[in-house]
Amino acid sequence: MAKRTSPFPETRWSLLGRAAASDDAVRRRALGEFIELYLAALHRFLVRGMQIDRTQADDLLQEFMVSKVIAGGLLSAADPARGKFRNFLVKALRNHTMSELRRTKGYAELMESTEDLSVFPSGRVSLDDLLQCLWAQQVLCAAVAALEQECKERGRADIWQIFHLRLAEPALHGAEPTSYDDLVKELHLESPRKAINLLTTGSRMFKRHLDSIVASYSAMGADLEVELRDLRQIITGDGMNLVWGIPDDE
Amino acid sequence: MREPRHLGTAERLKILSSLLNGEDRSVSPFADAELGALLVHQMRSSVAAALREDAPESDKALSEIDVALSSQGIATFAELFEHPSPPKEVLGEVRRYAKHLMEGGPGMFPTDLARVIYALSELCAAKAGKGSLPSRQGATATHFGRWCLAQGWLDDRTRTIVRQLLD
Repeated sequence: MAKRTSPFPETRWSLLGRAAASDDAVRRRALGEFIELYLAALHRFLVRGMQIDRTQADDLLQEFMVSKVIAGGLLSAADPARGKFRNFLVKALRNHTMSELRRTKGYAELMESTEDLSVFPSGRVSLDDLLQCLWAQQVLCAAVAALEQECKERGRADIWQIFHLRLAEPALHGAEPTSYDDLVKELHLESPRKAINLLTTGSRMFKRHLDSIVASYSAMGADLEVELRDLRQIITGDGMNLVWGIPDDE
Repeated sequence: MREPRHLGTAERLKILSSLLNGEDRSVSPFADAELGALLVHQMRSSVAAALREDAPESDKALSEIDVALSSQGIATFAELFEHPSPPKEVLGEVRRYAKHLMEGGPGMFPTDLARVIYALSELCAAKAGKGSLPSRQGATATHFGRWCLAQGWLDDRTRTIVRQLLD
């Protein structure tokens, strides 16, 4: 698989700056944002990329966050001049994980399978591609979550339900879309046009959130359309099969 | 209870595409197999409500439509198309409504569904005006009717209506 040169997802360096700030309140808020942005992808990286048991991945990640990120000041060591933050972060997590696993049984076996992490064990997708896919899925999930929140705030459960049942659940979790007849019964829809209007509104709202999230990840001045095109390429690539193989329990 | 089916990669990619492509009409959120269910629902839905939703600003014209429909005891699309003498002004409005949907009215409305409504309004108008309409208009309506009958997803009731209008 060809290596992508996409700037997606770029790092929010301003967030990292705040996370390393001396002001406690600023730092706490920034760390909260950081964890929200990166935790799920890092967990999936451990489970899928490093083939680590989910429960153990929970423990390892928690330990990494506490000892390296919060207490160890890892974020203050990040340097935009030295490349993408996610590579820095994944390398740090990988080193931490390997070091922790050295103390556990079965390490030798694990070491053998994860010694060369440049290629995913299946041989079809590189870890870099896998990470891109994990990020892409996280961006989609974040946009769906933002849509759900907006629908709640605006009292539009109808928009959220139809979007959730017809598009979000099937796309993100592979669930079969709720049949049109069931939608009509469940949402008391008067006509196909009503159903389609709700779905169209939901799609527009989703797209707006997606654009906003992609823009927040993007490098300054980057063309949003280019970023979205890259996102589409990532999502329709081979790597998504691997991401879809991971149960969503984060 | 039926075990929930898990979607295959191709299906998921199709849905993801429709998510990412927003209102691209070439990527319908409804599978062809579901068009039948949408059509049945359309035929059972209120004509007056549909026209009102489409053009809420033209209150006067819609009031006249309401009167025309209620005087003939017509509420739904199916009742309109099955009626022996449907009001011409209502057929004209329904034709305009269907044309608007065919031409991309609300983002993701399936074009083929709108085409069936359009065809039925054309067929009804042609039948009602038999002998007074130009033959070209009658031929167009027949063409639309035949197109409808070629759609495998057409439900039995609508199929019968089309056949009767073509006779």
